[in-house]
Amino acid sequence: MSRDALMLDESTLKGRYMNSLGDLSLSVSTGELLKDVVESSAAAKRQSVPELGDQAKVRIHDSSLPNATMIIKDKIGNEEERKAITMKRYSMVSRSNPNHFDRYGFKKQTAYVTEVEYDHWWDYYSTYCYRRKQKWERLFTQLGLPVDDAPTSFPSRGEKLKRYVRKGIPAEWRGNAWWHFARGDEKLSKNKGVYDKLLLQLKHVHERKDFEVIERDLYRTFPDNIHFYKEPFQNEDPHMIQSLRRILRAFSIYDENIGYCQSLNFIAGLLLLFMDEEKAFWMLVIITKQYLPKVHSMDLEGVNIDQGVLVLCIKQYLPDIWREIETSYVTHNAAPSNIHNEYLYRLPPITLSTASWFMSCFIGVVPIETTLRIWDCLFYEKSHILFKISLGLLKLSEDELLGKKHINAKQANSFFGSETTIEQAYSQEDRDILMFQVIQTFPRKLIDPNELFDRILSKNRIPLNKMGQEEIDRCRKYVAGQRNKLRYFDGALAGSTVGLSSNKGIFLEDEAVNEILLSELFDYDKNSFSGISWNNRLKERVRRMKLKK
Amino acid sequence: MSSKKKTILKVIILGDSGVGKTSLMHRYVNDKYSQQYKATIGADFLTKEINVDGDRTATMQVWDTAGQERFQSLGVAFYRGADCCVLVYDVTNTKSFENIKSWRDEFLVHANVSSPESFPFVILGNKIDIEETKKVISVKSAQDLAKSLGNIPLFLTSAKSSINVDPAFEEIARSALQQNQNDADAFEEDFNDAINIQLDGEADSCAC
Repeated sequence: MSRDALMLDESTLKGRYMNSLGDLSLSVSTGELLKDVVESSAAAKRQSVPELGDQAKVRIHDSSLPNATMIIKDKIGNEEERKAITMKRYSMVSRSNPNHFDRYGFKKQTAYVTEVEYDHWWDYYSTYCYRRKQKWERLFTQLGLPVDDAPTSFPSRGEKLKRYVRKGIPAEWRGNAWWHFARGDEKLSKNKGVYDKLLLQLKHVHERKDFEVIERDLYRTFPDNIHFYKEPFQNEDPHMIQSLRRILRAFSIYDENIGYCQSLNFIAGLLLLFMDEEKAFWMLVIITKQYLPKVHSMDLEGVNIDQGVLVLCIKQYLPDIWREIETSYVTHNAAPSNIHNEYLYRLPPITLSTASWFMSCFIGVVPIETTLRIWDCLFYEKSHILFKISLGLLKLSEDELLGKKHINAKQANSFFGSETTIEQAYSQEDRDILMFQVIQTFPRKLIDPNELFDRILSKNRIPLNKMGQEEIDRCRKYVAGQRNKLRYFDGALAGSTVGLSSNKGIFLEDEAVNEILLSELFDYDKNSFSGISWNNRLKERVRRMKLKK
Repeated sequence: MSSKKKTILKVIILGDSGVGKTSLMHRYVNDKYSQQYKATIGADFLTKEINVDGDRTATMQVWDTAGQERFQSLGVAFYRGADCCVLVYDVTNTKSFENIKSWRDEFLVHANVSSPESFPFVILGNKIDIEETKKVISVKSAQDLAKSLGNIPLFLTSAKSSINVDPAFEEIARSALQQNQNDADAFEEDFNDAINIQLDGEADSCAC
């Protein structure tokens, strides 16, 4: 079988692989593969098959060449690479030149970052990681904590540890560190044997709507990661896929309020790369209960609330971006109403993008090393960090987002020196598209986490860094309350033809609705986040009523 | 910059999880297919410049949405202003076909379109490259459904093998453009009406 493939001449191979590149299920960078294939065919024709140590056996998935094995010459042929090729975890993966994958098995190249860019950045970032690890080790030694490959005790909480976490936990320690900061042991000790029981239970549960969706998502979780990839010649699912299936199914019967929600597959999948299955399961429980409450529930109300909070944060900390969002919102609401805070209920469309930031905790939103740095902070600092990161990303992309870059470029090319404003240069619809495009693509290109952490999050003078967990929790309560009221008055909202509530018959003046909504105020300015403060006018009225009594 | 307003067509793709919405969008916009698409969370969009009436161009904004039912609670404000809605099912998945009607209804509830009877939909039956024995939705039943929902155009497609994707999107572009112009005309009419009413009023007051 391999003979046939090897006897094909160069041009046939070239043609075949050029045409079928779209079908190569684990596509490596095009040029490389082609070169490899061509080289090996040339080598085979010369019949000068080199020593096995200098080659990598690679299977090629091609319907016209079932089970073809290609012997591909190892171009570099160095010791390290050969070792990596023979490593067990790579052994089942076809065409896998380990150079194409990062340290967690993700393909380096994405739609937004080339492998060359990755390698270039990794040159710098790997030394940064090494330096950080040494600092961690020194800290541990100073504190008399044991340092090994997988430490289980960590320093007690404090500014210093927070700073260390912000700068990144060593990759090898991550699983244990996350588990520790999220108090996984506490959870597990209260629930000994529960996961095993759930797995037993699963044996009797077969047909479930959630299972169908889970099944469809297993291979759509990390198709770019070698541990989650199934070769055409493999009969069984890879271990990672099997674990992922068990965790997601077990979770769907464990938490009936959530069941299975798309995006949990990403969270569980990433956890599995850093810890064993049972721990990953309990981390998933902790994340969905404590860190992101109701974010994955049936009605996704938690994520809607968080988007409302994010919108309020943008309004407070990034006023220029807020102005743009508001203009767009008013333009597109066919019949603008005068209802206070309506945008907390009918969220601005950009929240469709940002919702996924929260639901999948930035997995797939930013490149993997950046995701992991966010996760380090998440388990140490809790969910407010997700808001800070979101604001940070928007802040970093502000010039692009507001079209300033385009305008500057335009002005440089123009003969007239007069100032052009964005309103003059672009129509509202063009600006909407631009805003969406930037929000969607900018984070995906952010390969270097330090761009975000050093330039935004470590700068005390940037106001958004003053935000804390308590403020976010208060703001969540506020938005939840406003959304409840707005939902209730939905039938009365102008421009809406369909009410979600049953009170369509009652018609309320905007003013009356507003008074009820304004009975609660969320005030950022006073005393740096005074939280919910009562409208003084109403307070006064209540006071007088009491006095009369 | 030209003074003429550029036409932007907003197209929304809906359908059950895993029917191939993302693949169809990428096949049409980039003419690419990969088996590496991840499940879509929230929504993604791509734009493509298209030719209309020979020399004019328009920007088509294609929105790809998450298929799991609960994600509908995210999309409320965003269906508004759509010019065409694409409903996708998988020819090997009965459930996804049965849900086409509820996707349409869901869209109409939230999109707040001016005349729901005439709003353009297009139905795509995807994955026709898959072997015959696995197909469960016959062409006949698809045609019947399309007819019963108000003669919606139907295309059987394969994003993987690039079958019928371009013709389908040409139809989508055509009907989106039509809808876009209808809306613009309606807006102008309203505007003219407003002026007329005022004139009538003045005339009346004179007659008093």
